[in-house]
Amino acid sequence: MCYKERNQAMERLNSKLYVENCYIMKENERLRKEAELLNQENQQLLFQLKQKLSKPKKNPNGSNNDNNFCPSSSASGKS
Amino acid sequence: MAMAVANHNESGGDNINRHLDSSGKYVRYTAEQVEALERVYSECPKPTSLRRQQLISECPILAHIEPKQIKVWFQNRRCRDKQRKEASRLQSVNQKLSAMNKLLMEENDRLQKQVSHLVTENGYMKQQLTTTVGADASCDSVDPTPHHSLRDANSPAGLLAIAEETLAEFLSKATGTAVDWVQMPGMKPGPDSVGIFAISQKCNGVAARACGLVSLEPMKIVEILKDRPSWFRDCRSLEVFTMFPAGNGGTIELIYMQTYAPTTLAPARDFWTLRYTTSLDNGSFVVCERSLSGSGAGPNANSSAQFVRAEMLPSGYLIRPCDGGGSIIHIVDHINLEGWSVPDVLRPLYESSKVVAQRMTIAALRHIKQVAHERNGEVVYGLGRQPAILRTFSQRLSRGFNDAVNGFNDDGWSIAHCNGAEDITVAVNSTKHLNRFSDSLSFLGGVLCAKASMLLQNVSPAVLIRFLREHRSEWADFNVDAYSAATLKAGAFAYSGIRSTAFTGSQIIMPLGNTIEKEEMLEVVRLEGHSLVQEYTSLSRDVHLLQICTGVDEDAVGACSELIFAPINEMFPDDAPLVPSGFRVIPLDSKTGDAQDLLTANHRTLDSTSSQYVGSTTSETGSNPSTRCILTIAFQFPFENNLQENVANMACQYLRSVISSVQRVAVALSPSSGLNPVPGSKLPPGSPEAVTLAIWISQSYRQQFGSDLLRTDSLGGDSLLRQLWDHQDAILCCSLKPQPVFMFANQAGLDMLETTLVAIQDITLEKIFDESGRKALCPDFAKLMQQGFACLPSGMCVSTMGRHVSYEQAVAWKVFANCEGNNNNGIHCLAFLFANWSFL
Repeated sequence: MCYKERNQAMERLNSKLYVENCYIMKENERLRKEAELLNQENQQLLFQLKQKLSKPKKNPNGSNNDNNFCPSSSASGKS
Repeated sequence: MAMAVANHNESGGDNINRHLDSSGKYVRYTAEQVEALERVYSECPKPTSLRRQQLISECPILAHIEPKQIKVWFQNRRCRDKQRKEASRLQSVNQKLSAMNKLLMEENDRLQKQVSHLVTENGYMKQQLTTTVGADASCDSVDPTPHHSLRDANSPAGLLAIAEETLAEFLSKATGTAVDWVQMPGMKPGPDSVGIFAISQKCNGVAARACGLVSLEPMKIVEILKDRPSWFRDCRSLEVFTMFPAGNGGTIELIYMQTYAPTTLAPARDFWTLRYTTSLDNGSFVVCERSLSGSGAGPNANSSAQFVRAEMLPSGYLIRPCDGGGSIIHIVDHINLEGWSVPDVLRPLYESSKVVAQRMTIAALRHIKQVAHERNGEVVYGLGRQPAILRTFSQRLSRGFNDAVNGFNDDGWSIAHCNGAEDITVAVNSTKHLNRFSDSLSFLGGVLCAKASMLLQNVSPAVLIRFLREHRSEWADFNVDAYSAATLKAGAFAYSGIRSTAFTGSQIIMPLGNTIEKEEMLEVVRLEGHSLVQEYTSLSRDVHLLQICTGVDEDAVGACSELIFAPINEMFPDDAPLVPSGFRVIPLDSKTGDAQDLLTANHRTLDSTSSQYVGSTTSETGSNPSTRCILTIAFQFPFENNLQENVANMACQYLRSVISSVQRVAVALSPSSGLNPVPGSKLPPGSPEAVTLAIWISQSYRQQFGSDLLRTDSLGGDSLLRQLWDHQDAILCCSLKPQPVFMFANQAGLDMLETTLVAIQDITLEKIFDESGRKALCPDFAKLMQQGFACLPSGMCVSTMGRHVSYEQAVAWKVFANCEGNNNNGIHCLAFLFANWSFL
């Protein structure tokens, strides 16, 4: 029943957890901003791709070209 | 209990139960001795020396132990209790931190996945752009811009499509960046934090998001949250018009919701929404909601005419069960309150995401946590009432106040007359409204309400409401409270009795209960009165009020503060009729200030890794010199038949006087005046600066006792004042008048007496002691005046709120004004230090 030492140890653990939480929060904030930037980039790229895809007849390189790549749908709806 | 504890004490290595015997050897107390001691301890953990001697003489088992050993045993026993409490406190802190940690790790995990997913996608698309693409590329290109297409809102299929869209949009806000979230300023990331909160920075309307861990199962949470009127104080009504099942076991509902307006300056808002409840593949439950266009209105066209239609953008609740029976919950509230139609001065209120966060999002999470705590039996009962019953009281008070402020026609209100000059509105309600509660009110002619809203500058809502609560006599006329109480109670007999009551002006506050984070407190206020009529002097004329006080935490950014009270019978039965009156103060932040606030706030809350927990050393609202807020006052008065005219006049006059009192108080509390409770500010004129006082206090202490009260090696009086202020013992100074009055206290001193630097100047030294305390003080006081200092034994005193305080030791000394180079060392005041004090 040595409360003093136990309490000190618990106190240290709590401090450590607290600091860790602060660190993770900062990290999450950073990741959120990064995701935002990537998202914007993503939108732009999608738009560019769409543009590219809507000018098929002008392409001299191949009416028989079978490169039928579809951009994956992303936009909203991530859970 | 003594038995069990006695066994407990016998475990090895326990230092309490050993003592030195006459030969100087360590000897254990026997089991009977320990049992006897424990028995006494359970009745009186802190026996006086007299009692201890009694114990030795009365109890033969303890006969051969030295009195000193007994004293030591009790000291150690108390110490062990303290340590035990500390251990359980640390344990619960640990649990909260761990839960928070888990939440954060999850979010971190999800964000990392999101980022890596986006990186892969972007990479893929970049690759596509650089290669040539086929002519008949006829795949579906996804429109990158979210389109608000007109869906058919008239058929279930159409509604389902809207519902699915709402789901997707809500999820992208809840766990994604569809709204540009920033951390809510003032959010304490420490162990007591309820969850993680974020607000929108710039988007259509205003949005807030909360994320937390609650120990309730998902279905229960869904049930509670869907019942908005039960937790959203601003919600007047919520009607489900239609409900039909949707595909995968979910439901779609069409809902009409009305909310109260917070002030008398703008009309209330209502919403016509679609709510979709469903479950996801991963086992989560979702309730999401958004407004439908179209003129869906309530059944009563008359009532909805008083409302402005607001818009709810996709919002909702995402609840994921986690192992251990709890759930992780994400809440998003995104609304557009049509702020363009309110008066300029009020607009910031309707465009503030912080206010939405506090009123809706954080309120929801807090409520669920409160229910979870109640279910787990962690809430203390006040005066034998169950927490749920107490919550009903506070909900009814809140609701009654909102009802009075809004005065809807279909509740029975009609405008009596507008006192143009002061912008006081008077409205009357017939008794039909009140009879719901009790038959005894049938004699009443009705209820009259006098209300007004106004702008206040330079005062923080929390500080103002706290002052109004603690110093009722500064603004209230207790006779008016007595009138309301009597009119509600019975008939004419009670009314005639009031005129002959004298009030002492003091109030006693008896706490009933509070929410976990103490952002709302429910209490009973007793106004002591005595009958002036000779025959009835023994009759108690006390008036009781049921009161809630919310938002007194200065660090809660965007929170509004309220003080709402209603007269109540002493016994306050569960169904007592309540006619509430009160104050609501809402902070108005200017739009331009927001961004700067958010930056500095984030900086503060995240960079405090060096300190143990984020304390309230930097208060957001207090440091902003141009804090503006809106004060709304509504007072209700029941009146008997034929007395409406008289009561109306009385009500207007009373409201006017209350308003001017509050304005006076607001000026006194503003930071620019000298009386702000911040250390380092000027004390009342005629006394030295606080810094100088601190120097004198510590120098005089050194002179009298020969040791240092504060560390004098540090440079400058400022740090000396800081040390004095932060000192763990209560240090108070009182003047040397024939009736010594307190003039200064450090933080611990203010906490002990439960008062403020402004109010402490009304407190006399005598007032903090009871009869026996004063008697005990007499000889010590004489000694103090004679020899310049005195040491007082352990004792008790009383705070301004009537709470008893015990302290282990106290010292008092004369404080001399030490003017350098001047032999004028006159005595300035007396200082008292109460060591190791605690509330009983």
